[in-house]
Amino acid sequence: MGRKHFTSKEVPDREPIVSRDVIFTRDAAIPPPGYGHRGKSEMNDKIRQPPDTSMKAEKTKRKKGRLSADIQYKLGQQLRAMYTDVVNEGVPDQFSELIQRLEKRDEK
Amino acid sequence: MNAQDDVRGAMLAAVPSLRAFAISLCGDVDRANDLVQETLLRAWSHLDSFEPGTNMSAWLFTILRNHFRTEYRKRRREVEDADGGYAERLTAREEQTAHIEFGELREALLKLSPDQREALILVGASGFSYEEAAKICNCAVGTIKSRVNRARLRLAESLGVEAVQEIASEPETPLAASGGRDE
Repeated sequence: MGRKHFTSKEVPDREPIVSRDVIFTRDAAIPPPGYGHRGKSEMNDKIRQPPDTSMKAEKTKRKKGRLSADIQYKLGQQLRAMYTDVVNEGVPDQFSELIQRLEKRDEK
Repeated sequence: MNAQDDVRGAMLAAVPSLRAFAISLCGDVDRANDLVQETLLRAWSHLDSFEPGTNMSAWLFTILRNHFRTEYRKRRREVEDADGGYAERLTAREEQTAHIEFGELREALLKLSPDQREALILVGASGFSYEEAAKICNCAVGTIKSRVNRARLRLAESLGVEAVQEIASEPETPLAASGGRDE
């Protein structure tokens, strides 16, 4: 009990996130087939290596040329979900009011 | 009058995605709203440079993006640890809003270079083609493609690394941990 640092209260809260954001949570530590191999075996570098590695040269030294289609798909899904989350908030009043003001100003 | 209605309609219709784009770029809702407001003001006063029949949304994205880049460069000079500032504001936002589930993703996004971030958002979330994104960012299509590619890699890497660290802190129960049972 003491070994794990989350309390029993935190666990149920976290569960749905774990299962939804597969690649962003613990599960990501188990790479899907293809992904892990590539990361470790550092030979798959026929894929063009972008020249701009200047500032992150240190970190990118474990070479990965490409993400698996699966990871890429999930990443895209998450990005779009995050984006849509904001889009769904619609047009805040301040902006429709702003346009109205601009129109009125031009009418004069 | 009709033309003006069209313009107004198109501008308002673009606001939700402009906001989503701006929040993804800067990680801060208030600042994003300022960016959108400034974009609309600029667009309104330069309506004559908008070519009718072309994509209003892409035009507005271009204005917002350029404005953000100018501002970003200014801030860079003013505040040394811009990234630290972003991170703080990001945390504040997480506490304030119900968007916690995307906190990790947003944080990882902010670790990308601005070039990579804007390319990834435009193509991966806003739904622009590589060609449109290249126009918005004023660079070659190939450049956009490689930025998107690198952005994906780095994003996956930074999200992955965090997950690995989480597990590393519980060495005894590497797999059981994902079940969340604690008995």
